[in-house]
Amino acid sequence: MSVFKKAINDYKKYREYILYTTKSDLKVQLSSTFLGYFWWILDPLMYMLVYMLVVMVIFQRGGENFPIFVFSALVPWKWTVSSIMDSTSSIASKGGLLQQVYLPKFILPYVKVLVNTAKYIFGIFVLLILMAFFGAPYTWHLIEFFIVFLVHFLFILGVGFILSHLGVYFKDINNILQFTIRLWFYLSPTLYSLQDVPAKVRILWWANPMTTFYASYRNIFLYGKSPLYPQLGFWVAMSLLIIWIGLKYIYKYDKNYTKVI
Amino acid sequence: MNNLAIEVKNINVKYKFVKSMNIKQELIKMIKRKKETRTKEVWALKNLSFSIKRGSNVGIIGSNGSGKTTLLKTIASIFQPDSGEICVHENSISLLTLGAGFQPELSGYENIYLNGLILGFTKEQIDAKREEIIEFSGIGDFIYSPIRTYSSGMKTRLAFSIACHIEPDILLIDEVLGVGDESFRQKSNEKLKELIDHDRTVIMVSHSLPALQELCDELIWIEKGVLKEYGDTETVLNHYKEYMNNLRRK
Repeated sequence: MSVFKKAINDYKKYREYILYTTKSDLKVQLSSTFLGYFWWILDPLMYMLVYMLVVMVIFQRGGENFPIFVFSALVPWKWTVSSIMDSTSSIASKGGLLQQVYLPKFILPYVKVLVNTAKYIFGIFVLLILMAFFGAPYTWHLIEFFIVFLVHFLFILGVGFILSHLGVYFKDINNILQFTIRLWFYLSPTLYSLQDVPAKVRILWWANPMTTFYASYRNIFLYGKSPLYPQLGFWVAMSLLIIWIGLKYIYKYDKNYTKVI
Repeated sequence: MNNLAIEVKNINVKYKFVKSMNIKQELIKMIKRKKETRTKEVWALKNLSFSIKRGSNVGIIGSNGSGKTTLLKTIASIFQPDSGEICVHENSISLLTLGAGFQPELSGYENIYLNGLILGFTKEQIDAKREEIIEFSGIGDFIYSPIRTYSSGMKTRLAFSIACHIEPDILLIDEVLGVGDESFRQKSNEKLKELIDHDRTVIMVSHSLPALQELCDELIWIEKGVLKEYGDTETVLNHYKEYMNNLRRK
Protein backbone atom coordinates (compact mmCIF):
# COMPACT_ATOMS: atom_id res chain seq x y z
CA MET A 1 0.00 0.00 0.00
CA SER A 2 2.82 2.35 0.78
CA VAL A 3 3.77 2.83 -2.87
CA PHE A 4 0.30 4.20 -3.54
CA LYS A 5 0.72 6.69 -0.73
CA LYS A 6 4.15 7.67 -2.03
CA ALA A 7 2.83 8.04 -5.56
CA ILE A 8 -0.05 10.23 -4.41
CA ASN A 9 2.29 12.46 -2.42
CA ASP A 10 4.63 12.81 -5.38
CA TYR A 11 1.67 13.40 -7.62
CA LYS A 12 0.53 16.32 -5.47
CA LYS A 13 4.00 17.78 -5.47
CA TYR A 14 4.39 17.53 -9.24
CA ARG A 15 0.80 18.20 -10.27
CA GLU A 16 1.57 21.48 -11.97
CA TYR A 17 4.48 19.96 -13.84
CA ILE A 18 2.36 17.03 -15.01
CA LEU A 19 -0.36 19.32 -16.30
CA TYR A 20 2.03 21.66 -18.01
CA THR A 21 4.06 18.97 -19.75
CA THR A 22 0.91 17.23 -20.90
CA LYS A 23 -0.34 20.45 -22.43
CA SER A 24 2.98 21.28 -24.02
CA ASP A 25 3.38 17.73 -25.35
CA LEU A 26 0.04 18.06 -27.09
CA LYS A 27 1.00 21.46 -28.37
CA VAL A 28 4.25 20.17 -29.84
CA GLN A 29 2.41 17.41 -31.65
CA LEU A 30 -0.10 19.90 -33.01
CA SER A 31 2.37 22.51 -34.11
CA SER A 32 4.46 20.07 -36.10
CA THR A 33 1.70 19.04 -38.49
CA PHE A 34 -0.16 21.12 -41.00
CA LEU A 35 -3.62 19.82 -40.16
CA GLY A 36 -3.06 19.94 -36.39
CA TYR A 37 -6.20 19.10 -34.47
CA PHE A 38 -7.77 17.61 -37.55
CA TRP A 39 -5.50 14.61 -37.32
CA TRP A 40 -7.11 13.61 -34.04
CA ILE A 41 -10.42 13.40 -35.88
CA LEU A 42 -9.08 12.14 -39.18
CA ASP A 43 -6.95 9.41 -37.72
CA PRO A 44 -9.75 7.20 -36.31
CA LEU A 45 -12.03 8.14 -39.21
CA MET A 46 -9.52 6.92 -41.77
CA TYR A 47 -9.10 3.67 -39.91
CA MET A 48 -12.84 3.24 -39.80
CA LEU A 49 -13.05 3.80 -43.54
CA VAL A 50 -10.34 1.25 -44.18
CA TYR A 51 -12.13 -1.42 -42.17
CA MET A 52 -15.47 -0.51 -43.67
CA LEU A 53 -13.96 -1.03 -47.09
CA VAL A 54 -12.38 -4.35 -46.16
CA VAL A 55 -15.26 -5.83 -44.20
CA MET A 56 -18.36 -4.34 -45.81
CA VAL A 57 -17.29 -4.02 -49.42
CA ILE A 58 -14.77 -6.80 -49.95
CA PHE A 59 -15.96 -9.47 -47.52
CA GLN A 60 -19.63 -8.43 -47.76
CA ARG A 61 -19.90 -8.90 -43.99
CA GLY A 62 -20.47 -6.69 -41.00
CA GLY A 63 -23.71 -6.68 -39.09
CA GLU A 64 -26.16 -3.95 -38.38
CA ASN A 65 -24.61 -0.49 -38.10
CA PHE A 66 -21.10 -1.73 -38.70
CA PRO A 67 -19.48 1.74 -38.84
CA ILE A 68 -20.45 2.55 -35.26
CA PHE A 69 -19.74 -1.02 -34.26
CA VAL A 70 -16.16 -0.77 -35.45
CA PHE A 71 -15.60 2.85 -34.50
CA SER A 72 -16.62 2.35 -30.85
CA ALA A 73 -13.91 -0.29 -30.58
CA LEU A 74 -11.25 1.29 -32.80
CA VAL A 75 -11.02 4.55 -30.89
CA PRO A 76 -10.45 2.82 -27.53
CA TRP A 77 -8.00 0.48 -29.26
CA LYS A 78 -5.98 3.38 -30.66
CA TRP A 79 -5.92 4.92 -27.21
CA THR A 80 -4.68 1.71 -25.62
CA VAL A 81 -1.97 1.02 -28.15
CA SER A 82 -0.52 4.49 -28.45
CA SER A 83 -0.48 4.95 -24.67
CA ILE A 84 1.30 1.66 -24.20
CA MET A 85 3.83 2.28 -26.97
CA ASP A 86 4.57 5.80 -25.74
CA SER A 87 4.94 4.63 -22.16
CA THR A 88 7.45 1.98 -23.09
CA SER A 89 9.99 4.55 -24.21
CA SER A 90 8.94 7.21 -21.70
CA ILE A 91 11.70 6.65 -19.14
CA ALA A 92 14.34 5.31 -21.51
CA SER A 93 14.11 8.32 -23.81
CA LYS A 94 14.33 10.94 -21.07
CA GLY A 95 17.93 10.17 -20.16
CA GLY A 96 19.16 13.71 -20.61
CA LEU A 97 16.51 15.19 -18.38
CA LEU A 98 16.80 12.57 -15.66
CA GLN A 99 20.56 13.08 -15.47
CA GLN A 100 19.91 16.70 -14.60
CA VAL A 101 17.05 16.67 -12.12
CA TYR A 102 15.26 14.24 -9.94
CA LEU A 103 11.74 13.35 -10.98
CA PRO A 104 9.59 10.54 -9.63
CA LYS A 105 9.75 8.27 -12.64
CA PHE A 106 6.12 7.19 -12.73
CA ILE A 107 5.28 10.70 -13.87
CA LEU A 108 6.77 10.03 -17.31
CA PRO A 109 4.50 7.17 -18.43
CA TYR A 110 1.63 8.92 -16.69
CA VAL A 111 2.09 12.04 -18.82
CA LYS A 112 2.19 9.90 -21.97
CA VAL A 113 -1.08 8.24 -21.01
CA LEU A 114 -2.64 11.65 -20.31
CA VAL A 115 -1.56 12.99 -23.70
CA ASN A 116 -3.19 10.05 -25.43
CA THR A 117 -6.27 10.36 -23.26
CA ALA A 118 -6.79 13.92 -24.48
CA LYS A 119 -6.80 12.64 -28.04
CA TYR A 120 -9.11 9.82 -27.07
CA ILE A 121 -11.68 12.25 -25.69
CA PHE A 122 -11.57 13.95 -29.07
CA GLY A 123 -12.29 10.64 -30.76
CA ILE A 124 -15.25 10.04 -28.48
CA PHE A 125 -16.73 13.37 -29.52
CA VAL A 126 -16.36 12.33 -33.14
CA LEU A 127 -18.12 9.10 -32.25
CA LEU A 128 -20.99 11.01 -30.67
CA ILE A 129 -21.41 13.00 -33.87
CA LEU A 130 -21.17 9.91 -36.08
CA MET A 131 -23.93 8.29 -33.99
CA ALA A 132 -26.39 10.87 -35.26
CA PHE A 133 -25.17 10.29 -38.79
CA PHE A 134 -25.66 6.53 -38.67
CA GLY A 135 -28.79 6.62 -36.55
CA ALA A 136 -27.53 5.06 -33.32
CA PRO A 137 -29.74 5.88 -30.33
CA TYR A 138 -28.74 8.50 -27.75
CA THR A 139 -29.72 7.14 -24.36
CA TRP A 140 -29.04 7.85 -20.72
CA HIS A 141 -26.58 5.00 -20.79
CA LEU A 142 -24.09 7.36 -22.42
CA ILE A 143 -23.39 8.71 -18.94
CA GLU A 144 -22.08 5.30 -17.97
CA PHE A 145 -19.26 5.87 -20.42
CA PHE A 146 -17.29 7.53 -17.65
CA ILE A 147 -17.26 4.35 -15.61
CA VAL A 148 -15.92 2.25 -18.48
CA PHE A 149 -13.48 5.02 -19.32
CA LEU A 150 -12.12 5.05 -15.77
CA VAL A 151 -11.60 1.30 -15.62
CA HIS A 152 -9.97 1.27 -19.02
CA PHE A 153 -7.76 4.19 -18.00
CA LEU A 154 -6.55 2.35 -14.91
CA PHE A 155 -5.76 -0.70 -17.00
CA ILE A 156 -3.73 1.30 -19.52
CA LEU A 157 -1.90 3.08 -16.73
CA GLY A 158 -0.91 -0.20 -15.10
CA VAL A 159 0.40 -1.70 -18.32
CA GLY A 160 2.16 1.58 -19.11
CA PHE A 161 3.95 1.58 -15.75
CA ILE A 162 5.22 -1.95 -16.14
CA LEU A 163 6.35 -1.43 -19.73
CA SER A 164 8.07 1.84 -18.93
CA HIS A 165 10.20 -0.07 -16.45
CA LEU A 166 10.94 -2.87 -18.90
CA GLY A 167 11.71 -0.36 -21.63
CA VAL A 168 14.82 0.74 -19.73
CA TYR A 169 16.38 -2.66 -19.12
CA PHE A 170 15.10 -4.71 -21.98
CA LYS A 171 15.65 -3.07 -25.33
CA ASP A 172 13.99 -5.82 -27.37
CA ILE A 173 10.64 -4.94 -25.90
CA ASN A 174 9.85 -2.74 -28.89
CA ASN A 175 10.23 -5.60 -31.35
CA ILE A 176 8.18 -7.87 -29.15
CA LEU A 177 5.47 -5.25 -28.78
CA GLN A 178 5.17 -4.72 -32.53
CA PHE A 179 4.19 -8.32 -32.96
CA THR A 180 2.22 -8.76 -29.74
CA ILE A 181 0.06 -5.76 -30.42
CA ARG A 182 -0.80 -7.00 -33.88
CA LEU A 183 -1.79 -10.34 -32.46
CA TRP A 184 -3.72 -8.69 -29.64
CA PHE A 185 -5.65 -6.62 -32.17
CA TYR A 186 -6.93 -9.69 -33.99
CA LEU A 187 -7.59 -11.56 -30.77
CA SER A 188 -9.78 -8.70 -29.58
CA PRO A 189 -13.30 -8.48 -30.97
CA THR A 190 -12.61 -5.22 -32.78
CA LEU A 191 -13.80 -6.19 -36.26
CA TYR A 192 -16.06 -9.04 -35.20
CA SER A 193 -18.36 -9.60 -32.29
CA LEU A 194 -17.88 -12.20 -29.63
CA GLN A 195 -20.68 -14.29 -31.10
CA ASP A 196 -18.55 -14.92 -34.18
CA VAL A 197 -15.98 -16.71 -32.06
CA PRO A 198 -16.54 -20.47 -31.90
CA ALA A 199 -18.47 -21.27 -28.73
CA LYS A 200 -15.86 -23.79 -27.60
CA VAL A 201 -13.09 -21.22 -27.23
CA ARG A 202 -15.24 -18.20 -26.51
CA ILE A 203 -14.55 -18.40 -22.80
CA LEU A 204 -10.86 -17.69 -23.48
CA TRP A 205 -11.78 -14.32 -24.99
CA TRP A 206 -12.79 -13.06 -21.57
CA ALA A 207 -9.19 -13.28 -20.43
CA ASN A 208 -8.61 -10.36 -22.76
CA PRO A 209 -9.65 -7.13 -21.06
CA MET A 210 -10.46 -5.60 -24.44
CA THR A 211 -13.41 -7.98 -24.77
CA THR A 212 -15.01 -6.48 -21.70
CA PHE A 213 -14.17 -2.93 -22.70
CA TYR A 214 -15.42 -3.27 -26.28
CA ALA A 215 -18.63 -4.97 -25.23
CA SER A 216 -19.23 -2.22 -22.68
CA TYR A 217 -18.53 0.57 -25.15
CA ARG A 218 -20.81 -1.04 -27.71
CA ASN A 219 -23.57 -1.46 -25.18
CA ILE A 220 -23.36 2.24 -24.42
CA PHE A 221 -22.91 3.68 -27.89
CA LEU A 222 -24.73 1.21 -30.10
CA TYR A 223 -27.27 -0.86 -28.20
CA GLY A 224 -28.34 1.64 -25.51
CA LYS A 225 -27.59 -0.75 -22.68
CA SER A 226 -25.52 -0.71 -19.51
CA PRO A 227 -21.87 -1.78 -19.59
CA LEU A 228 -20.86 -5.18 -18.24
CA TYR A 229 -20.47 -4.26 -14.60
CA PRO A 230 -19.35 -7.59 -13.12
CA GLN A 231 -16.54 -7.97 -15.65
CA LEU A 232 -15.57 -4.32 -15.23
CA GLY A 233 -15.39 -4.90 -11.49
CA PHE A 234 -12.93 -7.73 -12.08
CA TRP A 235 -10.76 -5.56 -14.34
CA VAL A 236 -10.70 -2.74 -11.78
CA ALA A 237 -9.16 -5.17 -9.32
CA MET A 238 -6.71 -6.48 -11.91
CA SER A 239 -5.76 -2.97 -13.01
CA LEU A 240 -5.10 -1.84 -9.46
CA LEU A 241 -2.93 -4.90 -9.00
CA ILE A 242 -0.79 -4.17 -12.06
CA ILE A 243 -0.58 -0.50 -11.15
CA TRP A 244 0.69 -1.58 -7.76
CA ILE A 245 3.24 -3.94 -9.27
CA GLY A 246 4.33 -1.27 -11.76
CA LEU A 247 4.72 1.41 -9.12
CA LYS A 248 6.63 -0.96 -6.88
CA TYR A 249 9.18 -1.62 -9.59
CA ILE A 250 9.41 1.98 -10.67
CA TYR A 251 10.02 3.13 -7.11
CA LYS A 252 12.50 0.37 -6.44
CA TYR A 253 14.60 1.44 -9.40
CA ASP A 254 13.72 5.12 -9.04
CA LYS A 255 17.30 6.36 -8.76
CA ASN A 256 18.96 3.50 -10.59
CA TYR A 257 17.50 4.14 -14.02
CA THR A 258 19.82 7.12 -14.31
CA LYS A 259 22.83 4.84 -14.12
CA VAL A 260 21.90 2.92 -17.24
CA ILE A 261 20.14 5.36 -19.56
CA MET B 1 19.80 21.96 16.41
CA ASN B 2 23.05 20.94 14.87
CA ASN B 3 25.07 23.07 12.59
CA LEU B 4 25.43 20.65 9.72
CA ALA B 5 23.76 20.97 6.36
CA ILE B 6 24.66 17.59 4.92
CA GLU B 7 26.10 14.47 6.41
CA VAL B 8 27.42 11.85 4.06
CA LYS B 9 27.98 8.53 5.75
CA ASN B 10 29.98 5.76 4.11
CA ILE B 11 28.36 6.00 0.73
CA ASN B 12 29.26 3.62 -2.03
CA VAL B 13 28.00 4.08 -5.55
CA LYS B 14 28.57 1.54 -8.22
CA TYR B 15 27.82 1.62 -11.88
CA LYS B 16 26.76 -1.64 -13.26
CA PHE B 17 27.33 -2.04 -16.94
CA VAL B 18 25.16 -4.76 -18.28
CA LYS B 19 26.29 -5.90 -21.66
CA SER B 20 23.13 -6.27 -23.60
CA MET B 21 22.15 -9.84 -24.09
CA ASN B 22 22.97 -11.08 -27.54
CA ILE B 23 21.65 -14.39 -28.68
CA LYS B 24 24.58 -15.10 -31.02
CA GLN B 25 27.18 -14.57 -28.35
CA GLU B 26 25.13 -16.49 -25.82
CA LEU B 27 25.01 -19.46 -28.14
CA ILE B 28 28.73 -19.32 -28.81
CA LYS B 29 29.32 -19.18 -25.09
CA MET B 30 27.12 -22.19 -24.56
CA ILE B 31 28.95 -24.18 -27.21
CA LYS B 32 32.37 -23.21 -25.93
CA ARG B 33 31.16 -23.75 -22.37
CA LYS B 34 32.58 -20.45 -21.36
CA LYS B 35 31.26 -18.84 -18.23
CA GLU B 36 31.31 -15.14 -18.44
CA THR B 37 29.25 -12.68 -16.54
CA ARG B 38 27.53 -10.04 -18.54
CA THR B 39 27.87 -7.43 -15.86
CA LYS B 40 30.83 -5.27 -15.19
CA GLU B 41 30.87 -3.27 -12.03
CA VAL B 42 32.68 -0.06 -11.44
CA TRP B 43 32.74 1.51 -8.05
CA ALA B 44 32.46 5.20 -8.67
CA LEU B 45 32.50 6.18 -5.01
CA LYS B 46 34.08 4.12 -2.29
CA ASN B 47 33.20 4.49 1.33
CA LEU B 48 32.99 8.25 1.30
CA SER B 49 32.06 10.14 4.46
CA PHE B 50 32.13 13.79 5.30
CA SER B 51 29.88 16.46 6.65
CA ILE B 52 29.35 19.98 5.51
CA LYS B 53 28.59 22.89 7.78
CA ARG B 54 25.60 25.08 7.19
CA GLY B 55 26.38 28.14 5.12
CA SER B 56 29.80 27.04 3.97
CA ASN B 57 30.99 26.91 0.39
CA VAL B 58 32.68 23.67 -0.45
CA GLY B 59 34.46 22.78 -3.67
CA ILE B 60 35.13 19.33 -4.98
CA ILE B 61 38.34 18.67 -6.90
CA GLY B 62 39.92 15.62 -8.41
CA SER B 63 41.19 14.45 -11.75
CA ASN B 64 38.84 13.39 -14.54
CA GLY B 65 36.75 10.35 -13.82
CA SER B 66 37.36 10.46 -10.10
CA GLY B 67 33.68 10.60 -9.24
CA LYS B 68 33.08 14.30 -8.63
CA THR B 69 29.94 14.56 -10.69
CA THR B 70 28.70 11.22 -9.42
CA LEU B 71 29.06 12.53 -5.89
CA LEU B 72 27.15 15.68 -6.73
CA LYS B 73 24.38 13.74 -8.43
CA THR B 74 24.14 11.35 -5.55
CA ILE B 75 23.72 14.25 -3.15
CA ALA B 76 21.07 15.70 -5.49
CA SER B 77 19.29 12.33 -5.23
CA ILE B 78 19.59 11.60 -8.94
CA PHE B 79 21.60 8.49 -8.12
CA GLN B 80 20.93 6.09 -5.35
CA PRO B 81 23.90 5.15 -3.18
CA ASP B 82 24.32 1.39 -3.08
CA SER B 83 25.11 1.56 0.58
CA GLY B 84 25.49 4.26 3.19
CA GLU B 85 23.27 7.26 3.56
CA ILE B 86 23.09 10.95 2.96
CA CYS B 87 21.34 13.07 5.55
CA VAL B 88 20.22 16.44 4.37
CA HIS B 89 19.27 18.77 7.22
CA GLU B 90 17.82 21.50 5.05
CA ASN B 91 14.52 21.81 3.27
CA SER B 92 15.52 22.19 -0.31
CA ILE B 93 18.49 21.05 -2.28
CA SER B 94 19.01 21.40 -5.98
CA LEU B 95 21.54 20.97 -8.69
CA LEU B 96 22.08 23.99 -10.90
CA THR B 97 21.36 22.67 -14.37
CA LEU B 98 20.91 24.36 -17.68
CA GLY B 99 17.94 23.76 -19.89
CA ALA B 100 16.51 20.62 -18.33
CA GLY B 101 13.44 19.55 -20.25
CA PHE B 102 13.61 22.25 -22.91
CA GLN B 103 11.21 21.62 -25.78
CA PRO B 104 12.69 23.00 -28.99
CA GLU B 105 9.29 23.35 -30.66
CA LEU B 106 7.91 25.62 -27.95
CA SER B 107 8.58 29.29 -27.37
CA GLY B 108 11.12 30.52 -24.88
CA TYR B 109 8.25 31.85 -22.83
CA GLU B 110 6.67 28.42 -22.46
CA ASN B 111 10.02 26.84 -21.82
CA ILE B 112 10.51 29.12 -18.84
CA TYR B 113 7.50 27.42 -17.28
CA LEU B 114 8.50 23.95 -18.40
CA ASN B 115 12.03 24.27 -17.13
CA GLY B 116 10.98 26.16 -14.00
CA LEU B 117 8.44 23.55 -12.97
CA ILE B 118 11.02 20.81 -13.38
CA LEU B 119 13.45 22.74 -11.20
CA GLY B 120 10.79 22.83 -8.50
CA PHE B 121 9.25 26.26 -8.83
CA THR B 122 5.51 26.57 -8.45
CA LYS B 123 3.57 28.26 -11.20
CA GLU B 124 2.98 31.38 -9.08
CA GLN B 125 6.68 31.69 -8.37
CA ILE B 126 7.40 31.62 -12.08
CA ASP B 127 4.66 34.15 -12.75
CA ALA B 128 6.37 36.44 -10.30
CA LYS B 129 9.88 35.92 -11.63
CA ARG B 130 9.09 35.67 -15.31
CA GLU B 131 9.78 39.28 -16.22
CA GLU B 132 13.01 39.27 -14.29
CA ILE B 133 14.16 36.11 -16.06
CA ILE B 134 13.37 37.47 -19.51
CA GLU B 135 15.05 40.73 -18.65
CA PHE B 136 18.17 38.98 -17.36
CA SER B 137 18.50 36.73 -20.40
CA GLY B 138 18.44 39.76 -22.71
CA ILE B 139 16.62 37.79 -25.39
CA GLY B 140 13.99 40.42 -26.01
CA ASP B 141 11.19 39.65 -28.45
CA PHE B 142 12.69 36.30 -29.36
CA ILE B 143 11.18 34.96 -26.18
CA TYR B 144 7.97 34.32 -28.13
CA SER B 145 9.67 32.30 -30.89
CA PRO B 146 10.35 28.59 -30.67
CA ILE B 147 13.62 27.67 -29.03
CA ARG B 148 14.79 25.75 -32.08
CA THR B 149 15.25 29.09 -33.82
CA TYR B 150 17.65 30.28 -31.11
CA SER B 151 21.38 30.32 -31.44
CA SER B 152 23.16 28.13 -28.93
CA GLY B 153 24.30 31.23 -27.09
CA MET B 154 20.73 32.45 -26.70
CA LYS B 155 19.67 29.06 -25.47
CA THR B 156 22.29 28.95 -22.76
CA ARG B 157 21.50 32.52 -21.79
CA LEU B 158 17.86 31.68 -21.30
CA ALA B 159 18.71 28.45 -19.51
CA PHE B 160 21.10 30.19 -17.18
CA SER B 161 18.61 32.97 -16.44
CA ILE B 162 16.04 30.44 -15.29
CA ALA B 163 18.51 28.33 -13.37
CA CYS B 164 20.00 31.20 -11.43
CA HIS B 165 16.63 32.27 -10.09
CA ILE B 166 16.25 29.17 -7.97
CA GLU B 167 16.79 29.76 -4.29
CA PRO B 168 17.42 26.43 -2.60
CA ASP B 169 18.96 26.09 0.86
CA ILE B 170 21.69 23.93 -0.59
CA LEU B 171 22.94 24.66 -4.07
CA LEU B 172 24.97 22.17 -6.08
CA ILE B 173 26.97 23.49 -9.02
CA ASP B 174 28.66 21.39 -11.65
CA GLU B 175 30.96 23.49 -13.86
CA VAL B 176 28.63 26.14 -15.08
CA LEU B 177 30.83 29.13 -14.54
CA GLY B 178 31.05 31.29 -17.62
CA VAL B 179 28.38 30.90 -20.25
CA GLY B 180 27.54 33.00 -23.28
CA ASP B 181 29.48 35.86 -24.78
CA GLU B 182 31.87 38.11 -22.89
CA SER B 183 29.32 40.55 -21.48
CA PHE B 184 26.86 37.85 -20.49
CA ARG B 185 29.66 35.80 -18.97
CA GLN B 186 30.51 38.68 -16.71
CA LYS B 187 26.89 39.18 -15.80
CA SER B 188 26.31 35.49 -15.16
CA ASN B 189 29.44 35.10 -13.07
CA GLU B 190 28.38 38.04 -10.95
CA LYS B 191 24.94 36.53 -10.52
CA LEU B 192 26.45 33.19 -9.63
CA LYS B 193 28.74 34.78 -7.07
CA GLU B 194 25.73 36.52 -5.60
CA LEU B 195 24.00 33.13 -5.30
CA ILE B 196 27.09 31.60 -3.72
CA ASP B 197 27.91 34.45 -1.37
CA HIS B 198 24.40 34.48 -0.02
CA ASP B 199 24.40 32.59 3.26
CA ARG B 200 23.45 29.32 1.72
CA THR B 201 25.37 26.10 1.56
CA VAL B 202 27.05 25.58 -1.76
CA ILE B 203 28.85 22.55 -3.11
CA MET B 204 30.58 22.99 -6.43
CA VAL B 205 32.60 20.95 -8.83
CA SER B 206 35.09 22.79 -10.96
CA HIS B 207 38.37 22.35 -12.73
CA SER B 208 39.09 26.02 -12.49
CA LEU B 209 41.40 26.27 -9.49
CA PRO B 210 41.41 30.08 -9.33
CA ALA B 211 37.62 30.09 -9.20
CA LEU B 212 37.59 27.56 -6.40
CA GLN B 213 40.23 29.48 -4.54
CA GLU B 214 38.14 32.59 -4.74
CA LEU B 215 34.75 31.10 -3.93
CA CYS B 216 35.29 28.19 -1.56
CA ASP B 217 36.04 28.03 2.14
CA GLU B 218 36.84 24.36 2.05
CA LEU B 219 37.75 21.74 -0.52
CA ILE B 220 37.04 18.08 -0.84
CA TRP B 221 39.58 16.21 -2.88
CA ILE B 222 38.55 12.85 -4.23
CA GLU B 223 40.71 10.59 -6.30
CA LYS B 224 39.30 7.44 -7.96
CA GLY B 225 36.24 7.53 -5.77
CA VAL B 226 38.13 7.76 -2.50
CA LEU B 227 38.27 10.78 -0.26
CA LYS B 228 41.84 11.99 -0.31
CA GLU B 229 41.66 15.13 1.70
CA TYR B 230 39.10 17.47 3.19
CA GLY B 231 40.19 20.75 4.64
CA ASP B 232 40.50 24.47 4.09
CA THR B 233 41.05 25.63 0.54
CA GLU B 234 44.72 26.70 0.72
CA THR B 235 46.07 23.49 2.20
CA VAL B 236 44.15 21.12 0.00
CA LEU B 237 44.87 23.15 -3.10
CA ASN B 238 48.61 23.09 -2.42
CA HIS B 239 48.62 19.35 -1.90
CA TYR B 240 46.51 18.86 -4.99
CA LYS B 241 48.83 20.93 -7.16
CA GLU B 242 51.82 19.05 -5.81
CA TYR B 243 50.15 15.75 -6.57
CA MET B 244 49.25 16.80 -10.08
CA ASN B 245 52.80 18.02 -10.75
CA ASN B 246 54.18 14.71 -9.55
CA LEU B 247 51.86 12.88 -11.87
CA ARG B 248 52.94 14.96 -14.78
CA ARG B 249 56.64 14.36 -14.08
CA LYS B 250 56.10 10.63 -14.16
